[in-house]
Amino acid sequence: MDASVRAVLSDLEVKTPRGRLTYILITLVLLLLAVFVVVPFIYAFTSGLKTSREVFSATFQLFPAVANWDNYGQAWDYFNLPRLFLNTTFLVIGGLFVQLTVSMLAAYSLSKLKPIGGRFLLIGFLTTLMIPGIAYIIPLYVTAARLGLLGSYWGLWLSYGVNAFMIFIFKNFFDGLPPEIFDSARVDGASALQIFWSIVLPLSRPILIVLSILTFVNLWKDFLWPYLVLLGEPDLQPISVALFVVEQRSATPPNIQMAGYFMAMLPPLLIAIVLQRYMQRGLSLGAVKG
Amino acid sequence: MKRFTLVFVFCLMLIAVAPLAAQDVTPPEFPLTLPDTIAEGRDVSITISACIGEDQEQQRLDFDAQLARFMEVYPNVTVERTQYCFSPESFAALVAGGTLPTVFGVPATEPQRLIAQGVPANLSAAFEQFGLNDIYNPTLLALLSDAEGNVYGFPEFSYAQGIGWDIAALSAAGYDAPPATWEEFGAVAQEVADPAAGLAGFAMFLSGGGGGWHFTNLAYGFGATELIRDNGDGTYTAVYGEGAAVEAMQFLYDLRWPDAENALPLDLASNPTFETVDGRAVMFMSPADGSIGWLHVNMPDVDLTRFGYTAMPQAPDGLRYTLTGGSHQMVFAGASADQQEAAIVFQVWRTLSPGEFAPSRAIFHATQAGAGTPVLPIFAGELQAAVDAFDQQFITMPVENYQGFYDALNAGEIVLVPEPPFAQDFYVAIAEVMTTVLTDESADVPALMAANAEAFQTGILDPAAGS
Amino acid sequence: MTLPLRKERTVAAEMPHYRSQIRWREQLVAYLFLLPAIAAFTVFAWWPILNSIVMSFQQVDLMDAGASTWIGFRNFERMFADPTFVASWRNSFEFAGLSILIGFFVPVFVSILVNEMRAAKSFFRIVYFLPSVIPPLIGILVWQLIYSPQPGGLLNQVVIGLGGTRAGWLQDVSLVKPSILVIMTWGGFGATMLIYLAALQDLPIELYEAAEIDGARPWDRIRFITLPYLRPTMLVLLIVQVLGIVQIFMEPLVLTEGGPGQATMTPVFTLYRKGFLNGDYGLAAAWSVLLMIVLGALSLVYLRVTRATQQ
Repeated sequence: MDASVRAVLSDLEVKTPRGRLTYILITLVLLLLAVFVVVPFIYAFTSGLKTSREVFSATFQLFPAVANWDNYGQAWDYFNLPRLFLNTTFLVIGGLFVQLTVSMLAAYSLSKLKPIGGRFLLIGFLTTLMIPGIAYIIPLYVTAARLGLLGSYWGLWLSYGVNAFMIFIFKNFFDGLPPEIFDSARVDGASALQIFWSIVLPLSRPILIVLSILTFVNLWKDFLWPYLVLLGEPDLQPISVALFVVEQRSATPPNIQMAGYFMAMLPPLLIAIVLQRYMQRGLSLGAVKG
Repeated sequence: MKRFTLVFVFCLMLIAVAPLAAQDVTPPEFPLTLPDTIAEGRDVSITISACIGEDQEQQRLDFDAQLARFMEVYPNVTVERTQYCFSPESFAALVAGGTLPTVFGVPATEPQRLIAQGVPANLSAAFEQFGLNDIYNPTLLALLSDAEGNVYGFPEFSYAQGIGWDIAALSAAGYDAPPATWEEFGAVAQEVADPAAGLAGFAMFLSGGGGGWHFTNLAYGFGATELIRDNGDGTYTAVYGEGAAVEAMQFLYDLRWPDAENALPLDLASNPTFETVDGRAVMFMSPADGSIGWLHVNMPDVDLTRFGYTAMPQAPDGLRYTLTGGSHQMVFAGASADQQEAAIVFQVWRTLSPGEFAPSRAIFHATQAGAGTPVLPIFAGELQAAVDAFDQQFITMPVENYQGFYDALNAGEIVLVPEPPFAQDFYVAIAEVMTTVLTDESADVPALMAANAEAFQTGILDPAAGS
Repeated sequence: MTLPLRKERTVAAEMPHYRSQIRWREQLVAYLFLLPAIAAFTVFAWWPILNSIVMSFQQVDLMDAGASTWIGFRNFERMFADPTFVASWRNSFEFAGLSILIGFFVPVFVSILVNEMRAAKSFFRIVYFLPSVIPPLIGILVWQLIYSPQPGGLLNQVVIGLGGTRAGWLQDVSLVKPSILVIMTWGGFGATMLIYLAALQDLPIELYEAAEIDGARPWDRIRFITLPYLRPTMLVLLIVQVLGIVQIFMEPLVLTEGGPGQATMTPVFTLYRKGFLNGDYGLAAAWSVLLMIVLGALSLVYLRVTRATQQ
């Protein structure tokens, strides 16, 4: 994909002086945009190295006179980042597991087990895509409260079982698997669960990896529902929620804030950089099929 | 009664182990008689909410020790502590889920709304039984009562809004304390401000819901204690379109314009206390517990001797009207009769019984805005004096800087006013006027206020009438 | 296509009894596989959706659901009379309109430019994509300091450095919406751009070559080939963007509390306030119902458009 394939400009045009100029201009524009994109990250990083007075000094100064690496240690303890990362990881892994399991089982059933009324159910699932959860957050909250699901990860994990988009993707994928495999396995006397475990799962590996990474990042980004469910449990809050609560309820020096925010952004950034290929594939999956 | 001697001996032992804890100050004695048994001996279990930070392990243990002692006195009762700090979102959920603790704490702004929703239990009979009506400050009880005079809560601690200031900055301009009249106050705010250096003369919340809340307090301060009138028949009238509320808004306008004399913070969304702590404002409006008290608990490295705290400036009638602050304890109406009974006895036992008063005060001062934060009297008359004397041992804040507040309090000038009806909607509506007034120099304050009050009447109050 | 079909038929023909006898067991198994999803959707989606419709006609008693009283259209009447109603939806429209100006075309043009690069394509792809992966809330918190109205806020430092005057990016009614949209564009355009880039991969180069032979200049090629080619994707993503705009919530919650004035009150933020802060659940449910209708209608348009695009 990265090969020097021509697009609007032909290779010949690019080599003319005028073309070369255009090309340089394009590069400059894109580089400028790249700077705009990374400025908040760099600003967070360098502000984290400043004294709190330097952060708000009236003259622009990207790097501080002296780098206070100490701030990072302070922010690490102040926000209790290790626990926040741990909480978030625990929450996200559990949610991911529930979401994948529930969605795959449902999709497999809809695709291969031919339940009566399956089409109707699929429409029922897909309807929820049209109405984002935020629109019915209040009755959802009341329901979760009455079921005693607030204040624990279960309220979040179980609710992450709702993802019609994932069911849809998996169902399409299963629909595309050659039916002979299933027929012959059934003839051999394999149960539906055995087929699921020993045939469907291994075959789904590529899509499973892509969707897992995408979901991992999405759950990591989730805010409102974890905020509402874990309001009363500061010890359990994931990173977004905890940072917001601290920001609301206390006066944190801006340099410590920025150091904390920068460290909080690092894990998802690293994941995105290391696994970029998968992430981008997952994204196009969403775009085309969504 | 026999049981109490047991508890008493136990406490004596505690004192022997930790002689520093109570010194030689005797706790005040409250005239009350506690029952020998609860719920005729039936098994009851209740939960008590406590908002104690996780870094305050010792206070959690102390609280749990109290629970253990209570269960010794009343063996048929099981009491459990749940870590809970009030927030509107989570509170609603606990109510809806029926999982609200049997005894729960609420900010002083909430009681009237909760009483209207039927959340807290009616405590009138218990107050009669234990003679609590003579023990607590009647002003606070009135704020915890419905129109028929039924009481729904135990006063826990109460604060007023007031004015804090940076002592060095104000005395550099030649003032010992913020002036007591609004006119002089505004003049001083303008005098000490240095907009070019980003220094505001006076900081308060100026935007959003916080802005509306603080404007309400400002309007009260100007004497507009009734912003939205409850007509008593399910209808309401917005009356803030004229009079002192308009003067309060004009006051803000005059502090803001012309731009060169801007005496308000540049950042309309900033927190007044933090602005002052960071040296970007000289005076600020805030409840004592939300500012100096909060700093004392949460930012111990801030040097509190830098700041003074006094009462709001006077309204034309010489009184200092302010929104209520603080927190009170209520009992969940959704709990069974036995649970309610146990909860009431527990609450009285923990806060007022001879053995428990001292540890309860110690926990309060360590976990809430105590330790010298200017509070309003919780108890009636003489009792409060005895409590104050007892509390001396816990004071670590520079209370001499708060003398102005106490002078106004002792002169009977501080008057608590609850939030207006439809408070949240009102805050949003009035914040819109604030924004216009603070961002548009050509704003016509009286016209804006009148139009806003009318729109609030037709948009919010009239449609909601009778509901 | 024919082979698997025939094979299925033979399997079925060989085991007619097996199929008819076991049908109910098969159904049982099928539904056991579906059970977790049905349970989750019932509790966390279908029931709350229905319940919000029910609640919108009630004065909700949180203490005792059975004690809620039916009050007809009262909640809706109150919603429509509320000045915040007009303000919130007008803000949504303004946000949507502005976002088309500010945010919508950025990824289109960036994707065309990136596609033009002969090297470092993947560098730009990943850099632009970075803001999309961090939790939006943390991004917003960082931007809060960038937008600080103090002379020391990053943006004000830059503006003052360039000889301008300090501004209240989030305090000024005329600046707050663009400021928020810049945050949203920053956070989202990289991901959107990847979708356009993917679409551009499928654009046959022969089209450009043919245009070149006809003497079309580069800009004409973009106008008459690239943009028309991207148009279906653009239409789809436009609706996605509007769907997102209607749901703006975190920015007012964290940055503005709906202010200055009511300039950033949005339908979602208002319903959150009415419900959670005022405890007026019936009224909040009325807001929910309207929001569901609007979002549902937009989604239907989206479905229409995607379907038309794919054909």
